[in-house]
Amino acid sequence: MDCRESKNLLSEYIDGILPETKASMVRDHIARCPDCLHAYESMITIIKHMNQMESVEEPADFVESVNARLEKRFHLEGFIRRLFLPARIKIPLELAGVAAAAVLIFYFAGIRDGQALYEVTVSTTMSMDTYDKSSEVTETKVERAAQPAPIAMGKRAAEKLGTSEPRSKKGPDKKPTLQDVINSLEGKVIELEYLEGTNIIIAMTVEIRADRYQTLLQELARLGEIQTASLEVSKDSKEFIRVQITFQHSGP
Amino acid sequence: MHKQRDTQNNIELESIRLAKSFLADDRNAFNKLILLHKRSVFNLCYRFLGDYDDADDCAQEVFIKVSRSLKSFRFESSFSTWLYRITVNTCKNRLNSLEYRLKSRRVRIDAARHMDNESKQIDIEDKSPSPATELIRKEIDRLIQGAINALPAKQKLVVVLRDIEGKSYEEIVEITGFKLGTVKSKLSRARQQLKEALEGKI
Repeated sequence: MDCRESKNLLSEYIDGILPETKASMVRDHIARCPDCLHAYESMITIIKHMNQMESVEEPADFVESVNARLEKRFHLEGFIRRLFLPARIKIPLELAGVAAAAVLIFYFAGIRDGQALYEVTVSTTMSMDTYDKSSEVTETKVERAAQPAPIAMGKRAAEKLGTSEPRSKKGPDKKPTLQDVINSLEGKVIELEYLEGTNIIIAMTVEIRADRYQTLLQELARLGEIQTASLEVSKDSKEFIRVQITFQHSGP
Repeated sequence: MHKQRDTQNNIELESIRLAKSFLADDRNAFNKLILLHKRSVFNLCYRFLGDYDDADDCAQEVFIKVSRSLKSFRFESSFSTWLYRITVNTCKNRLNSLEYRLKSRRVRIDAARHMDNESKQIDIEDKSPSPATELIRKEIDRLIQGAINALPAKQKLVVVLRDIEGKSYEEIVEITGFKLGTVKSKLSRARQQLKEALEGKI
């Protein structure tokens, strides 16, 4: 056995996992070669030091920190459950026979470092004519972070339809556009997505402060019919959240 | 040695009990689970990432992942191994993130603080090491950590698990998902590199 081979086997030799034939070859080599004996001893010294390294103490508030993050998470999970509940009983528009578009609102909660940690989908309905196409926003970036989760509109929804009255629209006063709403909330539209080759907007992403989210929903409800559970976003949260609104044509 | 094995078994049994309680909606059980494992998770993160604040954030993330994926944990395998696997993956993701790579590496000198050496051997005669011994020891720890930081990720992982955490080869295979041959070769290379970096210094 040469030095190179011996050095390669040192680690396994020290751990005692070499087959006896090889182990004895290493043993013999070390006994004859001062360099390899030195390498062997150094390696043992370093391993021993590593074995004895002191534990590092975590911060005193470690458990509290985990809990604070978990708290946020539990809160959001409850929030997600409440959001999905109404989506299941949403009345399919095509069955309602109303010329309208379904609007899916994506709520990205807990944005950190520009990345959404959680994603929630709300379903609502809105008349298509409420969005002013001649809005000033001309950005055409098409880049979708997440695809909408399919929303169940099965049998149960159809059964509900029989007993559901179409909701009356709000009074005759002129409805604001989505752009107006977002402007009034000091939010900003950060992305608009058009149907390929047309000027029909199929999605928009807006950024607003979390504490304005409730108001946004109320305003959206004024624009059209909205069926959603009330949302609990911390009222004093100054954190910005992203809301993605996707228009889906479901009428004939 | 037997005593240590027994302690490990007890921790394992207690972890399983707490995990089950947590799944039955006992939030307090989860806190106890954190208390039981925070030190080892934190240390693995610290040894692997080489930065105190990153280790803190990463270790917190580990427990959040645990709370989320405990439902899918099959109680047939070892809880500790499962926890280590989550820790290792979280650390790997952290190391791979661009943000982390751009950040300059540094080692906190003041990070190696004392702990209650419950699971360690207690040497009664040498219970209060002299300040000088203590200082030398800290310096050695710092040098070793610096050398570990310079290792490639896989070597780092294997050597930390083997030589600091005292895991067996089989456990390392289970935790990392590497083949046994890979564990052996990475460990051998890591130890050689550490030897070269530290020879004459400690």
